[in-house]
Amino acid sequence: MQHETENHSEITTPLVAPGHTFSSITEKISSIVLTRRTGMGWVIGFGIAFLLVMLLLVAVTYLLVKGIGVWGVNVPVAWGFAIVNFVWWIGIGHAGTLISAILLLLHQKWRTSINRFAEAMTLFAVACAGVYPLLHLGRPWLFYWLFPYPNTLGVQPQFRSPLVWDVFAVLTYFTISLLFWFVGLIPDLATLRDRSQTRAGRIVYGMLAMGWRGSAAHWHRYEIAYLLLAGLATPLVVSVHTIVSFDFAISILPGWHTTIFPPYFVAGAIYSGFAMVLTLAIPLRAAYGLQDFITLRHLENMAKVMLATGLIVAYGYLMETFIAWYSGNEFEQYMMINRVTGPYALLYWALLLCNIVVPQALWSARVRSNVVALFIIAIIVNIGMWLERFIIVVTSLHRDFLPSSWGMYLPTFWDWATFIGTIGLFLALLFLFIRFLPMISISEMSGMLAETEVKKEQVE
Amino acid sequence: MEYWSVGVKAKTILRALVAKKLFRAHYSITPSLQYSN
Repeated sequence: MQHETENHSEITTPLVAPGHTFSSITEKISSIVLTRRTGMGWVIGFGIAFLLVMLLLVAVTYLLVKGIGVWGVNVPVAWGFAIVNFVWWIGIGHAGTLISAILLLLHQKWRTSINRFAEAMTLFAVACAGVYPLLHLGRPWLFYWLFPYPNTLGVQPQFRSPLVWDVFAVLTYFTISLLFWFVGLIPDLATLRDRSQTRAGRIVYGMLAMGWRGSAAHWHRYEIAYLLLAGLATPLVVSVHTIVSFDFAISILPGWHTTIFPPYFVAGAIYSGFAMVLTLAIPLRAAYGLQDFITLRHLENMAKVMLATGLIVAYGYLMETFIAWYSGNEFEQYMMINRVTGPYALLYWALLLCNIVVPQALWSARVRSNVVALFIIAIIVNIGMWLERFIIVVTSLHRDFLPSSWGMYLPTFWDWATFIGTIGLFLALLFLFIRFLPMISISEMSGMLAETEVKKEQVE
Repeated sequence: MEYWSVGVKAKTILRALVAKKLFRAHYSITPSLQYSN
């Protein structure tokens, strides 16, 4: 009975608006790349993002010349914006992998129109994240010391440090995500090659399509490769942020030394990732008229995932507070009192407001189907999740066991310049992506179409 | 001109380059292993 009602709701709110055919889908999506004029909005948006990338380059150059003293980091707060932003960006990437891999394995058809740009978002977010630990090394040109390569120095990485696990976790994650994204793109690249009006377009897309002709053998291998990559990517969704949380949880610092961290970080990552997908999907569907493909049902489902993961995050906050009291450990208790009443208390309360209070509005179906409200909530959650990382890193470090070694952390101009610069890098890459590659999977959308029609026939 | 063949050529060249790189890397690292202890 329940199964029937589910099927029924899928038919009443289809994942592709009615009236589309194979050719109309191909035409609509590929025209954004091939035939439509580059809009003024794109030029202005990309221009601003590009300027911010230049700001990033200036900030990084200054950092390399002067050293990390230009940041606000000090003793005791040796991890400042760099680690806050690293964790934030890695978290944002998670929605892409969840949508593309886990939802594929779970046969969640609604992933189809959002998976491509969510995967692209993952890659760009991980690229932005990767910048930070490298710069934080102080001597980034020696980063290769983190690899266990055979060397004559006799120096090996410290394998008991989660920071070294992080190197492998993040690199594996990036590699698998890149392969997954690229393999998924191949049939669409072939479509672009065949429809391109220019010789250059045909050659470039032709090279990228690697000889795809859509034969049965090609599709067979494609399906197997895609499924295998989904299987490989699935554990990565859980492992990457678990290991990022180990960077904190393995230490003995109050506020970090918590067993709730791995699940709470993974849920938080998916939470912030979906918030970012909504932040991007809502303006994109409006700008390119993609309401037929990214329907209200997609937005509503993403809002539901946000609500669920947001509640897990809320449970994490509750447990942190409870354990601080229940541990009977005065350092743990002080950590919590300091968060609630200390110098950064305002940020802690803002975090609770952004991450727990505001998203409760998503219980209402009216809010979930209101595009503007969803967009605003998604931005608030993005800010909230950034504040969460700030609170975890800074409030735990700035007042540890010895009051004589307490301190404060204040970000400098260069901290902000680097952070805003990586936002620019992310947006610049995203703008290039939507201009030169199909942001919705043409082949998978066509697959959806056949399915919706079969289901309709079954009902009739 | 059939443009799909451009892709096949690109793939073949890329594959050969990667194979060459791996081959070189393997033989440039291996001797240093003898001195690692």
